[in-house]
Amino acid sequence: MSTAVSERTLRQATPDKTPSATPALVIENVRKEFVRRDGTKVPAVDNISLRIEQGEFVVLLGPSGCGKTTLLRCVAGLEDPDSGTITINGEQHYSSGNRVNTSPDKRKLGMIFQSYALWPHMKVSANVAYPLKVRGVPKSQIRDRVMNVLELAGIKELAEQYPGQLSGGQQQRVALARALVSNNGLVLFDEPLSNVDAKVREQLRFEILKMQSEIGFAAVYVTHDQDEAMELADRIAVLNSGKISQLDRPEAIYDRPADRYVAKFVGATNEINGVVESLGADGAVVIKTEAGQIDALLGEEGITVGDTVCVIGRPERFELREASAAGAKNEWPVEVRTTMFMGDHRGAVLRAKGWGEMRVHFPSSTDVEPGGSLAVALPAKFARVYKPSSR
Amino acid sequence: MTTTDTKAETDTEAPGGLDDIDAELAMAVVASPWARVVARARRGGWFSVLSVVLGLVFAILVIYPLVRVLIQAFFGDGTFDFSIASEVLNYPGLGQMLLNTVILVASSMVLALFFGALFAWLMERTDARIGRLAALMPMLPMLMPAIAGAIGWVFLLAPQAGFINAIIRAVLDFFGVHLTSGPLDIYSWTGLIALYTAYQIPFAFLMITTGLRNSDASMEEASRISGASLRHTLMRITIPVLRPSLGAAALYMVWFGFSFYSVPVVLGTQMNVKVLPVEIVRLLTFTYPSNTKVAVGLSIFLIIAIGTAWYFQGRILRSNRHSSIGGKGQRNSITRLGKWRRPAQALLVLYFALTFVFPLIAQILVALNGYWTTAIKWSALDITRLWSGITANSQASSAFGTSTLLALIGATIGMTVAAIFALYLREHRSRISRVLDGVIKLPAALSAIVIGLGFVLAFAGPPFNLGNTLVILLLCYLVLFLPQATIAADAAAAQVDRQLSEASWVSGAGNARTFARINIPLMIPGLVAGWGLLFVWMTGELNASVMLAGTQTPVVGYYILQTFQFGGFATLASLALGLTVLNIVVLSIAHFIEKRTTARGI
Repeated sequence: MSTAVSERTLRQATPDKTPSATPALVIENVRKEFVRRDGTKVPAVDNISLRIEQGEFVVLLGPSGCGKTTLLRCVAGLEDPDSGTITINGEQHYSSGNRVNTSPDKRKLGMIFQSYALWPHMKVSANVAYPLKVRGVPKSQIRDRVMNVLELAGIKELAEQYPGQLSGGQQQRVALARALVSNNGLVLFDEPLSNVDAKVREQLRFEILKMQSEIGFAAVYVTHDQDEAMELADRIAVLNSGKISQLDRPEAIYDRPADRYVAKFVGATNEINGVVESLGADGAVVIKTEAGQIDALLGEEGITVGDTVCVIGRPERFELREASAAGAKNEWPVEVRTTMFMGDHRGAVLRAKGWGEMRVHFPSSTDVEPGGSLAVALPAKFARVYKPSSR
Repeated sequence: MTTTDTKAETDTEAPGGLDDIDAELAMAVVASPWARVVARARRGGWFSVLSVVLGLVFAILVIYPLVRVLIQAFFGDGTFDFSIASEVLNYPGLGQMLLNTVILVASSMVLALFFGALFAWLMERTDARIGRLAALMPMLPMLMPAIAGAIGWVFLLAPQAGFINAIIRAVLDFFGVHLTSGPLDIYSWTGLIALYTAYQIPFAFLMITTGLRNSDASMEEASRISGASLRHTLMRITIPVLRPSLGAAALYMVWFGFSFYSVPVVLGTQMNVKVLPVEIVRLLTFTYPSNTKVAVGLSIFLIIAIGTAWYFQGRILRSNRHSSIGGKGQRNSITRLGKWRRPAQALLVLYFALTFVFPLIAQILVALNGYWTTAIKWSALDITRLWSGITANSQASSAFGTSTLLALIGATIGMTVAAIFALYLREHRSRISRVLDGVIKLPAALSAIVIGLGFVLAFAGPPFNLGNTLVILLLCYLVLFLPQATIAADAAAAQVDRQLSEASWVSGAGNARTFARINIPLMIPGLVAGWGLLFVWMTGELNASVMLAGTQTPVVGYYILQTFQFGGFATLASLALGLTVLNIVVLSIAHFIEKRTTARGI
């Protein structure tokens, strides 16, 4: 996780994204329906509103089919929404009320496609020069600007190559350069790293952040990869069936998910069902489960005594300890099934009464023997309570 | 279960079927289709408007003549009556003519399917494969148009003056058998069926080859390993798996056979064997005054025959839906034929010689000699005469020039329109654009005879008065071959990832610029290949040309027929040869450009 640390420092170096300036992108009540073959209408984007400040990096995170790519394509103008408004840098580009709907070439965006979409019949330099050329930038400037951005992307020496001669990572840099060479400060990313291997992906994430801090563009980044989202985002919008389930900083999304869907989508979870026994101050609750009483925190509003709920704990929040004779609160004796060495941590599959099989992470420097008698404990602040099915 | 693997969950939660088609369907539903098309077109700029307008223009060009044919058929005299029906049904020799046509189509279909399948199997699954010939085989009807081939075979097998007959007679003479004519006769049912078959084999070969390539040879291997014999495997596995391809080939042959004009007009007229397409053209073009009513009435038989074939084709495809063939692109195993390998290869070479080399030699001989005789003075052959049939004859050279010009213009317009429309269709799959696409592809499902007839009815007379002009020929060629052009353009467009044009659009380029700078350059290999085919089809077009061309606007096909009827054999040989050479040159150039542009790493 060393890269993550350096990115954080980088991010702090960028100027504050103050809401006072004209936002880079304002999406209001955008809705887009698809009709299935059997005639039922499915809202791919269901009245989404989102405001992205200048220089802000927002990641749209969700499983395939949640509407994140559709929303991005609506912003680009490649897809027509059914209703709502889309305003880019204070300029309205789509409005169902005002009957405004500009074509993509009028929106002055940069966009990076999943397939990179480099034009195979043009050299790298021509690919990058294209947005400048079609926007009527004087020839004298084009070459300098192209070389500058290629240098920034670290591929200056590839200018005279054709895309077919490049590796996946290099192609991705060209696509990045092309998107950045001419835009009005808003760049759209459509799952750009899903086609490169893990090592290159990590490197490119880092460079995207570096370039963002140097140039200072706002970004809307679509992905289904939570690690990618965590690493890149100022804010993450977790999408579920066309709606934003939660929009917040990565730490908040992870530690305080808004509902069970977000909790389960971002990071791994252990779950147990129970009934609310009592409500205390500051959201403290006691839940009665098959594993006994659990002290926990309310994860969302609208839960009262007697409700059936779901207690969720993340694998690394469980503490592994010797089984104490008394059986303390929030502690369960476990039977070790298997352990897995994962490099930076160890994973164990345990069996506990009421929980069934649970997964727990602990530092890789410690080890446990299968069959040993141990216990795990979950501090109350990490046991979060949600309605069993959110929405 | 209390532990959740995040990624596995995301995959199962994805609602299926939210693809582009659904999106476009949604559009068609949400607003009225026309309003949507107009709105989208306006948003896409003038280029989208152009695409829609082109689509509309060609849809009208297809529909209007067909409507005229139907009106003429049922309301010939302004009122709905059955007078045409009775006139057609009482037409002398109707039964015999229909019977002739059906016998020819059915017998040649069976033979062509057999040989086509045999050749395809030899080339795809055995060591008798001859690589170059396999690539050439489907192209044969384009290299030498049927009309040129048929005339070549008349030169070879005419009872008196046929070269092969002369050779056989000379040999027999040596053994003391004296004949004055024959022994073989191209003007016979055998000759007729043989030529029908020869010209259908390439299509059967192409479709069955495709079927074999898409089917997994391991299915056959599994059958052999399970203990089945080669024959049993063929009957139980190979043929059932190929049923869709065989069905498609059979359909194509019905379509082709019922409108096949060149061979029956060359042979049948002499034999007094009437077939449907020849009779329709004769009634319309070579009778005075022309009997349009009966010609139109007869064309209904054509439409019925082809329509029936389409119906059964649909049934075959539907009944085979379950047998989706899952070729994983493994290397297909090759059956070793052993001692049969050489004979099999000889058979393949023989077919090539019979359909291409021999007729070509006959054409060259007649052209070189200056007239058609079996008593060739080898010392007097004159190489300059090879083309003199075209160059020395002003009508022939103007026919050749006109055809080349029409094909150049027609192929270029056709491919451009097809490319524009293919791209439009890809980005805007609204209901309207799909209907337009269907209408534009309709001529491929109809006979060129019917289309030509429709064009005569619709555009030759007032108010258009396009009869005897190049315009009517050009329009008819475009309508006839636009289906093939759009299929080629669709394939070319499918090679270009949609995101490539979207990237250009987002970069600030409009539709027209994206078309010119991104799509066209990337589609060039496919478009050039399509252009070559279009050119060849247009120069060799006979069915509609015969009805639409006149003395003012001679085209090669029309002029070859005229010459054949009046017997200028040297000119005929030159023309047939010229057409063959032109086709070979154009297709070679197209192939070369296609290879070069593809090799550039696109």
